[in-house]
Amino acid sequence: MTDFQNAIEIQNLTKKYDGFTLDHVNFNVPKGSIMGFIGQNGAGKTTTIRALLNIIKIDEGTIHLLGMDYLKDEIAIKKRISVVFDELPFQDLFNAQQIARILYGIYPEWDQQIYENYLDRFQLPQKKKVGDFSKGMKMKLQIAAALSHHAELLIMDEATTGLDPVVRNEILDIFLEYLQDENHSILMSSHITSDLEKIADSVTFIDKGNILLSGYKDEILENHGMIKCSKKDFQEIEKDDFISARVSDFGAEVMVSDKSQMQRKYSGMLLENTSLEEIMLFYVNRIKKEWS
Amino acid sequence: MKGLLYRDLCLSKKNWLTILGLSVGTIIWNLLVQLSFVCGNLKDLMADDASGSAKMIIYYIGLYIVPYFSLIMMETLQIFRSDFASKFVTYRKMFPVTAVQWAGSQYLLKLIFMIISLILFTINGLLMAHINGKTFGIYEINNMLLFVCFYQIFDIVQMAFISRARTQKDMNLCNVSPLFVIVPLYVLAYGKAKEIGAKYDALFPEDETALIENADITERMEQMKNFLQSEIGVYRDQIAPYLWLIVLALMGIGFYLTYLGIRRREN
Repeated sequence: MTDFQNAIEIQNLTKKYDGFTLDHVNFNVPKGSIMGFIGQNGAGKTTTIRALLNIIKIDEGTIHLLGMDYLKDEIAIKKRISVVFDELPFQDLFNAQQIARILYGIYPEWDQQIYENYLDRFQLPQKKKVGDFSKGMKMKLQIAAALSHHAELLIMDEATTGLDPVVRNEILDIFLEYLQDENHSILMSSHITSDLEKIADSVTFIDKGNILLSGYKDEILENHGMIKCSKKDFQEIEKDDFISARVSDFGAEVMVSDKSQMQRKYSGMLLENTSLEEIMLFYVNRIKKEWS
Repeated sequence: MKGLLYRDLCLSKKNWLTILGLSVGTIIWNLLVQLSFVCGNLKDLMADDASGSAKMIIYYIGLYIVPYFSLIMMETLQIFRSDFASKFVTYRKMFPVTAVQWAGSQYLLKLIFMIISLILFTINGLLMAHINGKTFGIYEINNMLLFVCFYQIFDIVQMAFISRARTQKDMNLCNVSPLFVIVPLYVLAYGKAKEIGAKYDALFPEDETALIENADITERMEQMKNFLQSEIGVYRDQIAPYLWLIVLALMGIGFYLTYLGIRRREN
């Protein structure tokens, strides 16, 4: 088995479409960690994940999964990874038992006992057609299937979108259990940043096909801050010192990327901690600089 | 591939269960009709039919209706339709499955259904031949293989359509694909049929053909069968030794087209 430091290594990934370009995307997912891949709809998250899985052909770049080349060792990689999309990849006429039989024939490491344990835990019926399942049940079934063949890497594309908070929490707990094994890693794409804030070790933020931020979540949250000030005080802040600012009649909220330096420079102003959601929002509006 | 084969089997379950039931039902129905001709009501009813022509016609219909039904089991269009609708073409890449394995599972399924069709045809033929005191052998098996060949040609054309399909509209267009085989075949056969028809008519003087009676029908049918065998059978006998190879070659072409179609959609 290949020894590797990063479960996913992406270098200069480029894919051009008419009207959209995934532009020299670079990021790594360290082994044993969970990375949140965030961005608004159409930012390029799904395109990146599809490129990882060789669903789309890339124009440029290199991708390594579990230390192997994603094209040369495609089948070997896919035996050791699991993918969860926002839709179930099986037709509505199948039931959980039949899906297990299919996957047993596909994955050499399929573990029926683990699968049945998850079905029991999620209270999923084995003989009911998946067409009659709710969205939450379908997602739980996908996750049960994804975790039942001893995969070392879990890739999820908007897996928790559209689920209620109770189900989402339940699923996030399962992911944390999965990460107890230091060889397991997760790449989780989502625009629900609160989920990622709870469980992610690192975060990569993509917008319009460009990676804007990539690093450890705690560092990102520690470095970024929000200056809350009046409109008059806002005029004193240099344009290069902030990402973007939300200006209203009541004052201004200014996102800065170097909190400690800004604290020193603008000592009279109130500088607060921020969240991934706000960071995402202010980065998306970085071109406008000032918005309301 | 085992998982994919099971998946395809489940997806086509409704279709093949219906056809299998229909084929087995037809065999039982054939058996009862033939038994009735031998020792039942039809025997008394056909007492006047000294020529036995009605019995002969029903015998041939009974012999070849089973492959007609059972070959439909090989139909895979609905699997593709279903995969298309569920985006499995995209999701397949989640799994450690190659395009060759996916195309292979569908052709393995076709091969299984073809073997089941041959078995059903043979059972039906042996039963009917036994009851009627006729022979059932390589000649009839070759006829069945000819059926399979024609079916494969239809299938290849359909595959060419499916391979090009990118939208649901393209997929619906696959329904008209048989026309691309039927029309050229009709044009080819039309000229040949006229030629054979003229030859057949020439066998009988004009006044004689006008005075055909019931008693002559069997004799005429026998003559027609022999005539057609001598005209068409020549071609059939020429290809007969290679029919298995032709069937496998056609399946190979179909498999390759399926594989190309999968790759094309992936790219």
